[in-house]
Amino acid sequence: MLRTEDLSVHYATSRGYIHALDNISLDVASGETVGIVGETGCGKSTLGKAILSILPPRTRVTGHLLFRGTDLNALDREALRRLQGEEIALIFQDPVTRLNPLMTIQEHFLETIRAHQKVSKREALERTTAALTSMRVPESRIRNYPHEFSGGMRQRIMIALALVLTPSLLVADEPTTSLDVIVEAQILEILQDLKRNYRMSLLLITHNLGIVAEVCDRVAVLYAGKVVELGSVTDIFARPVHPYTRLLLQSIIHLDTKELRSIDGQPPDLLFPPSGCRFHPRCPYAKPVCQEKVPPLEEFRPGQSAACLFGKDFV
Amino acid sequence: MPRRSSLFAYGVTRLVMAFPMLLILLTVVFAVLRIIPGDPIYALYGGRAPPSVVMAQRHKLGLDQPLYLQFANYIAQVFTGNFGTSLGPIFGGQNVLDVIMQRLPATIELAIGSMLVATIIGMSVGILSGINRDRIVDVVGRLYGTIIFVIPIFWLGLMLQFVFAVDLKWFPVNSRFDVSIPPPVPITGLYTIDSLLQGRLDAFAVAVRHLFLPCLTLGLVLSGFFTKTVRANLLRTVGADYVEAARARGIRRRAIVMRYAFKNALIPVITVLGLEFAILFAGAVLTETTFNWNGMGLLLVNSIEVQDYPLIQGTIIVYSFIIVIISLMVDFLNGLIDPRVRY
Amino acid sequence: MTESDDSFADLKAQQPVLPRPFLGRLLYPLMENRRTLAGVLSWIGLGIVVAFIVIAVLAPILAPYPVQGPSAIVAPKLQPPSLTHLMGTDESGQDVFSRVLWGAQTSLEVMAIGVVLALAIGFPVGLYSGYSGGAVDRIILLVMDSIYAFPGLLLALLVAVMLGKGVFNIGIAITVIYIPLYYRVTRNQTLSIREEPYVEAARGLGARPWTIMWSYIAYNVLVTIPVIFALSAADAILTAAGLSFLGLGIQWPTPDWGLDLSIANTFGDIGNGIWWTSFFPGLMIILLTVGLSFLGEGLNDIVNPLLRKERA
Repeated sequence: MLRTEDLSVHYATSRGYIHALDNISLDVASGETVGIVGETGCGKSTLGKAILSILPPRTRVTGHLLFRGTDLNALDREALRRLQGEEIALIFQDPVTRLNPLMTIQEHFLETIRAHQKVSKREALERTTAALTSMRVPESRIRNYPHEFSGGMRQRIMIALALVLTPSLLVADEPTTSLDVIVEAQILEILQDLKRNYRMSLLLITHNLGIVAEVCDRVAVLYAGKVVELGSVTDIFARPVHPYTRLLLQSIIHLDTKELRSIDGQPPDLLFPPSGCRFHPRCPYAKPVCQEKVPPLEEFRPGQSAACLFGKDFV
Repeated sequence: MPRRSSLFAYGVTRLVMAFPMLLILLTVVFAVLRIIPGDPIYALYGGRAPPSVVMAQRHKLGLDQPLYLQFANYIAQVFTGNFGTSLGPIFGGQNVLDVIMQRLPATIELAIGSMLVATIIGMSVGILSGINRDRIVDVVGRLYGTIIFVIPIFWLGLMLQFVFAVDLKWFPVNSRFDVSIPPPVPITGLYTIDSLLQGRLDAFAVAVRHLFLPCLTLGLVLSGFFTKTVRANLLRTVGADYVEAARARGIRRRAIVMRYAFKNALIPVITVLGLEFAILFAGAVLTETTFNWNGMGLLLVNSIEVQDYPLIQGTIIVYSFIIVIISLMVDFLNGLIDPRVRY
Repeated sequence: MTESDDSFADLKAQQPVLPRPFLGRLLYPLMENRRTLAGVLSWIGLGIVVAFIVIAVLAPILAPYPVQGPSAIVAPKLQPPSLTHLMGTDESGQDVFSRVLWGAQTSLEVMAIGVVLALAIGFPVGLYSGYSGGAVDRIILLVMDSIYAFPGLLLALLVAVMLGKGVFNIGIAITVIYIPLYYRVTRNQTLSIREEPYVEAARGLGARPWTIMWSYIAYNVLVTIPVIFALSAADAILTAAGLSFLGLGIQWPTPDWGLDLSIANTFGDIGNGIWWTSFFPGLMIILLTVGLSFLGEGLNDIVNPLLRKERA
């Protein structure tokens, strides 16, 4: 369904290029749910925006972004526009600011539907109510304005809006981060339903390892704009290879956690990323060579790869 | 649970809140005119009248009563529309309110025309500036916004007169109408509207020619602030989160500009329009003086020259009323466009 | 901070308790930023304003001809600009160039009285109001907001009418309309600074309210004042010119830019093709206002980010 090959995204700023993503290669099969995990600022959101082709102007994008075999980076604007919303959809993190305050919910939906398909108003309205009902948003409120809804409702509306045209690939950027746990559980349930019933591919971007464990089939761990580990959920959680993944898993709090452990240091400045392996300044196992050589993504087990020069020591 | 925003309820609320504002303005006028030292009656007679005459006049106008009584009378008079009679040489003896109403349409015509000019220029420059951020067009636009605001209106008016009226002879130098043809019969008092209503295109043409330079002058100066606001808002909306979300849904760029950026950017502009009206009136006074335009502004200036106290007071009070009414309309418009405001 | 530090060392020695000296906080960023656009703008603005002050002070020396009284009538009326009269002559035969130079004095006088007085009144009242809070604050706020609600020129007009003729009275009229502005700005700043930890600390240590108000709060508010001062001065010049254009206050034959324009208008000079009697006085108004605006806006761009950084 989706494959990226050596995808790099660099933002142009007055101080230089920010290396948000460097040589990202991963893939999502049809009907699969892949999780993208990492700390804040590791490039997760950038990946989401890159897939949807809504990066700001003057951003340098290199590499291939293949959706069903077609390179999105090579398409023209109109072709991209047709895909956006209809084949590929994006759910944003903050529902509060993502809806136009001057438009009613109904107007949002009608606009989206009509931007892609020629249907009558009645048909569009039917689809709207169907989408909203499936997200448990009362149909009677279709004429309300965004500010009249709570945060959780707004996120559900956003999801409904993303799904109304039944896209094949859904990218969810931290969909539950700004919501309370109960609403989060509801949303996750809905996502699982979609996965089961519609065979929709889902790219779930989050920093919450818990939901990744629950919902995803495979996981990609990102650090400082690079993929450091890639594998199935079971492999990653039970048998992590990369030091970063291991430290990340160690820092999760369980019921029987006695000591809080975090990773020393701060994520690096992506204007001038560290040489060699980008994790070396914070890695407890770092050796001098880690500063010089950029570790490639090597497959250490069938279906599990990591970008570490000493990966086999951790298998 | 939030309820449906009601435009009607909002309108009524604004209406009720307008009264305190009106009262405040009226009080300020009263305070300045009666509390500040300086005897207008004495000055009216050029200091030449005997004290007894001055006393008699003061008594007639109720100026020798205690302040709170004066205030009470004042408010009562204002709300019953009794502004007294003019004391000056020009309009002596006429009802102040009548005189003001005669001249009001001219100012309204000027105001509307100028606002049109200001809006058109302001929005065009603002939008162009915002769309082409940081390029030459933008820099020029921003410079325009800053500089035009500091040019004295009367100087601009005089210079425009010189270039367009005297040098190029495209427009007349001043006043509202020519003496060569009869003016239209006053229905609204606005020469342009009246001529159209009567089907007199010749009169219409003349009226517009006379209207052009004054409106251009006032409009240009007002547009400066407009430009900056429009630009700032456009930039803010274009980068907004919901615009990004709309792009991700495949909404066409043109639709985004029209329904998202444009409409959202307009909101503060409506408020600015309201604020500008206050500046508009100050500007109108200066413009009317420059172009010998027979409106309220010129009336005010003339009555100041002859120290016609009731007329001065009456004019300022009418101005206050107009300001409050305009504020009300702007608030209402705002509520119409932006549903968030309605509570 | 290298050189600037030393030159203000004695100032610092005098007041060891307070944050960096006021002038230092202002000039240092100006020096630092002299290459940025905002910095350049401020310097240009400052230069223009200083130039005008110099002109005003040295007018008696710089002006080639006298400007008041019978000796001022030096040439035939309404002569276009020439080598002997750089800006031509006006309706009474006076040299426009000399009048324009002397006009700087009048303008600066009005500005000095008007804006400085407004600051002198508005600042302490705002400080007091903001710090005290409660009923006192509300009442003063109501009064100030009422005045503020009234269109500036109209209010100044009214005041000027009541007070009568004279430069001083125009100054007072200007004062009246700007007091609410200074009051507002000071009050808002006071309100936010009042909650700062070091103020609370001072209160906890038992400092008298007067001391707190002046040494702590006022000092910090003061940094934002120059920006407002410059910008309102620009506006004041325009308003004052407007007032004299309408025939208030300043009387003939005092040289004043607004007055000169008024006379030019009354005599219908433009209609007769005489542009120099209006053009040059107006140009001076524009230049001075632009200078003050540049100074104000430039300072604003420099000082505000610094304040935000300091407070963050």
